[in-house]
Amino acid sequence: MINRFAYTSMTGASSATEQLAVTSNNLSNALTPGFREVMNAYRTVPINGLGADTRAFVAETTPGTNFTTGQIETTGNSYDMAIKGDGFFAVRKPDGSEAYTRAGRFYVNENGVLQAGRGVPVVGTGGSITIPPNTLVQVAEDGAVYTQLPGSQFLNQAGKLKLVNPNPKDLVRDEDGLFSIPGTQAATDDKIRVVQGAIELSNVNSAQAMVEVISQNRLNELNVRSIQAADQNARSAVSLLSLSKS
Amino acid sequence: MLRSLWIAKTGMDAQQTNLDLISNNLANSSTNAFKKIQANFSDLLYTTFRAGGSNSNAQNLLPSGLQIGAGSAVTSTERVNIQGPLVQTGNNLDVAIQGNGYFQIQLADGTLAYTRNGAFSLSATGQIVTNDGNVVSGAGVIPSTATGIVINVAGLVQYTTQGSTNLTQAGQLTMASFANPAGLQALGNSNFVPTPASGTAQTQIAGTNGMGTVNQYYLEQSNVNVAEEMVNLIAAQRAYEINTRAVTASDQILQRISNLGQ
Repeated sequence: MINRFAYTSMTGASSATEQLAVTSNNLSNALTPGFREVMNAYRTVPINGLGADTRAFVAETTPGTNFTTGQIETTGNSYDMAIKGDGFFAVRKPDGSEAYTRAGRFYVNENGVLQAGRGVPVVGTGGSITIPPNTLVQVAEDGAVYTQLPGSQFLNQAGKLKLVNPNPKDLVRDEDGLFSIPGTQAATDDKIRVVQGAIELSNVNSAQAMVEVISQNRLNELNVRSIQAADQNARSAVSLLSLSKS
Repeated sequence: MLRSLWIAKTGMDAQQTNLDLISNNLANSSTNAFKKIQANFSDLLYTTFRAGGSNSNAQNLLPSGLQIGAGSAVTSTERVNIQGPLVQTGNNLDVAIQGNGYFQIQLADGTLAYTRNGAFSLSATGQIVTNDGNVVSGAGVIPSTATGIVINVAGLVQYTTQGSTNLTQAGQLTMASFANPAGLQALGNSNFVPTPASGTAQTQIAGTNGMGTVNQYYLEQSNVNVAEEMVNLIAAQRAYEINTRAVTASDQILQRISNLGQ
């Protein structure tokens, strides 16, 4: 029978591949605006048997999200908005709940309602924000959205973006990639500043992620070698036993 | 099979689409009134394998869960309707729109389409047509005796005849606007048709209600910024490349595992 350390090594090899999946997801989103890197870590799972604790399996976990700010790229597109420093834009999910995102690539739908990616409406402090047709959009630093007819001197306020700054510990990444606070909503924070005509890029550090890929690959290799060693030991034992038989 | 293999593949797919769009933008950097197209990326669905805070056994709670995303995708492509620069051409049937709006044209099959490419010419029957021969709505007929054509900022088309200083009106260019111009569907040849996402066409007179003005003797150039597209090209190519590395790593892991059984 194969030595039990093969199973310990197996958990190491398989959790390295799981972690590679997390890093691949980060890498494939290296150009997704506002994407926040998923952090990963290994966790020990000690085997608490009746005897002595000799072994500990390993499991892959994603303990949270890296919320550092990504690089801000100027686009000149008046519906592109980026948040300076901490904070989030609020959007309304189809189920009516509020979610948060750093991705400020907005557009208007056929009714002029300001929307974020995947067609979720942007939440303003007074409901959704509607942009009248043919108007120029100006967004003030505090998130107030003004519209202006070309040639007119009058600015009409269409609404104000709801900007929030919840504690990152409370935020949960939903299945659709938006962040939310289960069971509650974040309060508006007036101190958050917005830049119009710019977009925040992904905060994935490609160099670091590449190094992670290499180390996960090698960790998998080391553990597979251990399984091979266990296999060889077992083979030697089998051949010893078969010799003694003859 | 290995999850990371497919996840890295979605990243390669998304960057491939991005490269296609960048190439199309670059190819149209001298197309009149061309509006650059950008890819909108987003992350795909996340799967929670173990939720943080759930029970690991009767006594213990897991300090953190495991959530793996499925990669990235180009969820939509969007035309960036930034005004292109106007260049003077000296041709009296070249008109450019400064501001919002589209010229309405009639396609060969009778459907209405919209364009910002104002490089017009005259047909054999004196109609003002686009460079692919579609009749410009509202422009009227210019008789062969006309000596000059004047198109004013409101799109009013007038002509002069020999021996007369008076302008005779031929028609007025029909201008249309949309609630969401980014939602228009491109037909090629700089022509667009409305979709449910763009909203229906609202015809208005140029220069009123926020519509742009019509400028004779000018053409609107492409709004593609070649330097910006080149930087996007480099970023997309490198992003593609690092995703292929993740595929290579996944492949090596699979190879190792398959060798184990030997």
